[in-house]
Amino acid sequence: MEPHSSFDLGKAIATWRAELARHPGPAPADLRELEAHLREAFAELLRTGLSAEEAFLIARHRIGPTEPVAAEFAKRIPQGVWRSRIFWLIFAFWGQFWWRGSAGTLLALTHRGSSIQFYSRDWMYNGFIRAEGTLLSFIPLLVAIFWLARGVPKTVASLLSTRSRVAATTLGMMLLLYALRLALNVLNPLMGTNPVDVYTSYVVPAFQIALLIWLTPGQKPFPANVKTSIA
Amino acid sequence: MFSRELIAASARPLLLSILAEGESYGYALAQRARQLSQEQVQWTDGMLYPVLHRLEDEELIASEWRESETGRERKYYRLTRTGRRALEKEKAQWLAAHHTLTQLWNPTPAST
Repeated sequence: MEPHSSFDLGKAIATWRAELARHPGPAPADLRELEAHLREAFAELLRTGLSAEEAFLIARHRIGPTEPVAAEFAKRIPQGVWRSRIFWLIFAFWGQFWWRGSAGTLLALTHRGSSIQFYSRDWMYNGFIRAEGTLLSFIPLLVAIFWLARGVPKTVASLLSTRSRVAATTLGMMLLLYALRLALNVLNPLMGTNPVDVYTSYVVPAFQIALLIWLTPGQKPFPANVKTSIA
Repeated sequence: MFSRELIAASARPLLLSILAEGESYGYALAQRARQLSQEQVQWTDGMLYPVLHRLEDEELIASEWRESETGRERKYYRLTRTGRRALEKEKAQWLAAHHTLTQLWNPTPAST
């Protein structure tokens, strides 16, 4: 048997906590609570005469395997998640406006005299269909979102599993906006305004909205597909 | 041995009932559940917390981080008034289910 001194409780807890945190489910407050539980169980098991390492292993085992436990936390969907999603959505759009303005200035400076135009103001009409501008406006946003969703590799993996949902939402929105476009083109001449290029003015932003809703982190940004049971 | 579904379904009334005895914290709740079920229910302690949090979202219980006498920090849960009412409802339902089944399983001597 190894001597007790070779076991470092702090380190063991940190490793275990980090493993839990890699999954999208538990929030920092949940980890704090689980750690309190682990320490409590550890202390009690230690009193029964087990070695520190044995006590830790049993305490950890009682809490359960990290993946299903984390997934159970991910199943919690309070309204708070939607509040947080909407908050990030608004934040993302605001950030995009801000960045678009800067990127527009940047592009105008670097592409002076070339045929590339980037209208930071007419973004609805021009900005979105210019690949360069779109890329520029999206990269920092995506980086921020993934960073905020914590655990980048896991996020990317979970994103794939929700791909069908992103697609369905987007498709639904596009159909809706196609109907809107038809309606608008009928209405515009009646109202004496010019027909709007609805594709660029509504469809592309709608696509981005759909994407952003599913990308924005909440406490449960990417639900894991796990069996519905608590044990 | 309880099935997974039954464990999931009974977690809610179980936790509400334990909290009806007085405020408690995660570890003690898990211990109490283990003791009450006489090891028949294979609890995974970590799974208790999401249930507790859901109950908290529904405002059936309230929580508060506090330091125990021993200096350990714990998140204490207590039943709210809404929780007490929800527990009464749960109790009525579980007793009704129990009553229905026991009529079939324990026939009165007269009917045998």
